[in-house]
Amino acid sequence: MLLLGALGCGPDDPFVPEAYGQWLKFEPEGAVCANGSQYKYFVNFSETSSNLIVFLEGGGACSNYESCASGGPFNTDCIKEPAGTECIRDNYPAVYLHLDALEPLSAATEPLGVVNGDVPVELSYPLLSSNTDINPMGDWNRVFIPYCTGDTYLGSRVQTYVDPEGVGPDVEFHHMGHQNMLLVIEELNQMFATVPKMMVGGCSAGGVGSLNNYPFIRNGIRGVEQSYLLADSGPVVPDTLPSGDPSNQLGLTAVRPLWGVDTLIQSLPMGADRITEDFGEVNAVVSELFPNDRLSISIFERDYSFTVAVSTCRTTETRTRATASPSPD
Amino acid sequence: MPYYRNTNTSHCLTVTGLEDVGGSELAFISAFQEDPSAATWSGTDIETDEGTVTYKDFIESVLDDSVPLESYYEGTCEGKYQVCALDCDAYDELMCEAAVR
Repeated sequence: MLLLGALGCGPDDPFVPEAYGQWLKFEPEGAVCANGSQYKYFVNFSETSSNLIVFLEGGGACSNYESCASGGPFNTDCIKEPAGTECIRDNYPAVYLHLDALEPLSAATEPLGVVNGDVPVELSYPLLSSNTDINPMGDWNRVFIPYCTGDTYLGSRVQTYVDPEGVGPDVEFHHMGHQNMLLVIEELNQMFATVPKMMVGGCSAGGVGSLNNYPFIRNGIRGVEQSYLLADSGPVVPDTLPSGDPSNQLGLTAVRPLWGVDTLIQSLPMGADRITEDFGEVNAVVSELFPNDRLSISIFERDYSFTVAVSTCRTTETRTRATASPSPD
Repeated sequence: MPYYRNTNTSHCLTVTGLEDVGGSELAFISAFQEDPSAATWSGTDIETDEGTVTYKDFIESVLDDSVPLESYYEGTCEGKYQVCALDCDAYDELMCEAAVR
C-alpha cells in the first residue's frame, strides 16, 4: 500500500520517490523475516542516474535447532524475542554498526558519516557508498537488501525446528528469503522503468543469494538494458571438483528440503533438472540464460568459510598473476 | 581471487578493509581521510604484469563493456596463513594446522 501511494493514482503514473540521496524504507506486503515480522529493505534514489545497484547483505545461515533457535544468522536474533519483535531496525542503514572505540572521536569521524560511533552501511559495504572515489557506482540508485531469513536468500518455507534435547520450545523459522526477493523485485520493477545498467551483488550469504536470484532480478526488472553480477564470497561449486574430490562446502543438498529451495529451482526459466542433480550447475545455467551479461564471482583464497572447496581447485599452473578468461564466465 | 587479508578473516571483498590499515579503527579513519579509496579497498590488491589491481579496479573492468572479462589470481602467498598455501614453497602441514586452529 505504501508503494502504491508513492506511485500515484494510476498504473501509468511514473514512480516518484519521496526524497533523493537518503535511505528510504520499503515494506513489501507479505515479506517476512525469520520470526514472521515485516521484512524491510532500503533504497537511496539518485537524481543524476537511472542505473541501479541491488546489493544483498551477508550474514551466515542456519539449518538446525541449535543454529536457528540461537538467532545466529544476521538479523535473526528476533527469533528469541516475543512474537512480533522487529528483526530489521528502521534506521538500519544509518546505524549499521556501533563501534564503542569511535564514540569519543566524533569530531574526526563525522566527515565519514560516523556519528557517536554509529557506522552507516555505506562505510561497511563500499558498493552502497555515494562516494564515487570509492564506489564506481556511487551516483547510481542504490538498493540495500538486508538479510533476516538465515537461508542465503534461497528459501520458500516455514520450518519448525525441535530441540533434540527436548528442553527448549519449538522454533518456527521463516526461511523465506527467495519469496521476499520476488516481492522486492516486483516493487523495484515499478520504481525503475528504465535502467540502462544494473549491478546485482552481495557478500557471503548475499553472494549465494545474488547468484541464485539473479535470473529473477534480471527478468523481473523489465526496464534493464545491460546487467552485471558481482557474487562475492559465496561461490556455489559443483558436487565434484575438477580434482575428482567431492565438495561439500555448503551442504546445499541437505538444506534444500528445510529451506524449500526447490521452489526457486523449479521456477528457473531453464536448468532445473541440472541444478537439482548438482547445485553447482547454477553457475553454468545463469551464464547460459544471460550470455550477454557480464557475470563474476570473487573470493579470497584463504576465506575460511569456503576455502577448502576453492583451494583444491587450484593448481600451480593457475597461479598466474592475471589470466584472461572467456567472457562471460 | 586475492590470497588473504586481515579484515573479517578474509571473508568478503565487498566489505571495507577496516582491519588492514594500521591496526585500529582510528588508524583506519586517518587513512580514510587521506585516501578513501586506498583505505577502503586495502587488502584486495593483486599484483599483475600491468600493475596493481584492487577490487575497485576489478569492478570497473566488469562494468566496462568494451573489454573482455578477466580473472585474477594472486601469485604471492602472504599473510597469517601463508603456511597453508598448497603450492607455495612455504607450505608446511603442521604449521598450517596450527595456524588454522
